[in-house]
Amino acid sequence: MEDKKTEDYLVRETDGTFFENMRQMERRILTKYGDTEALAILDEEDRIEREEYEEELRQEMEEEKISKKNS
Amino acid sequence: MGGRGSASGIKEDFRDWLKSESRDNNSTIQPMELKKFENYTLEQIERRIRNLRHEELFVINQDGKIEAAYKGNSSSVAFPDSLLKQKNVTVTHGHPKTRAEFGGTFSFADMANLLKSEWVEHRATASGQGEMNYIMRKTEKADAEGFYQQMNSDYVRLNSEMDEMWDNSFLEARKSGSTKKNAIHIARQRAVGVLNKYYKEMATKYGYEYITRKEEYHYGR
Repeated sequence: MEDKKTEDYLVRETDGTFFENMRQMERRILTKYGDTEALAILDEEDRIEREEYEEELRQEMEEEKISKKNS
Repeated sequence: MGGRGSASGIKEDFRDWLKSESRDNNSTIQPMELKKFENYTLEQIERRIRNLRHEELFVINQDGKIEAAYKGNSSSVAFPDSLLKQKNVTVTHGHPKTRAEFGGTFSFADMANLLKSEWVEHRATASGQGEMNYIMRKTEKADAEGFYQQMNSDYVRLNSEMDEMWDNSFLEARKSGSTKKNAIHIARQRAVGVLNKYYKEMATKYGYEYITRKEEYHYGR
């Protein structure tokens, strides 16, 4: 019983920090070359990604609200 | 590749991922209501998840019925450890559209999950221009423990190879006249290609089928 409780508590993840590690590798290499222009491209990608993710969350919350109202 | 306090970067992270993966206590499991996906086929599920900006994971039984679904964030999706013990299921998850440049193949954590599970098939789906589906399927000859140990002994080398590939590919692309944006794209594709090639070789060695499929792939289920 105790074992089961422990098992259920454990959380697994798909990708963990995989993508973050990739990004860090890129930044480290580009920083080594002092390539600020390329680093700015990565910054812009990060910004777009954040915006798109937040927008998706916003849309989903709206949809949930409408769905709850209708049910 | 980043990492926490090790000379080679990824080492500690990779060990964490391979070991078990309550990576931290902040990972929240968010089950989704299945009613919304009633009668969804595998194709419909994967069409959905490859176009999202966050990750989702679906568990499908042998009859094609969805048994569970979890919602994640922009880089990962959390699920209960007990799911690993579910036998003969297909587990599929999406790599967010915004990460498409990194390719869609399995992360180290994805592999660790499969190799510690009773799942018959693990799938990752992406929205890049090349491969759209990455499938790792267990065969009767599967040696999960052997594959896991192999990865555990290869990760430092793999990490260095990916790092070197990114670096060299970026420089080469720049020398041959690519824009910086395009050079980054090429470097990413080639770096992840190192992983893809490794999975292909090791899957054969340890009794797994590693299949990649492009957009025009026709689902038979």
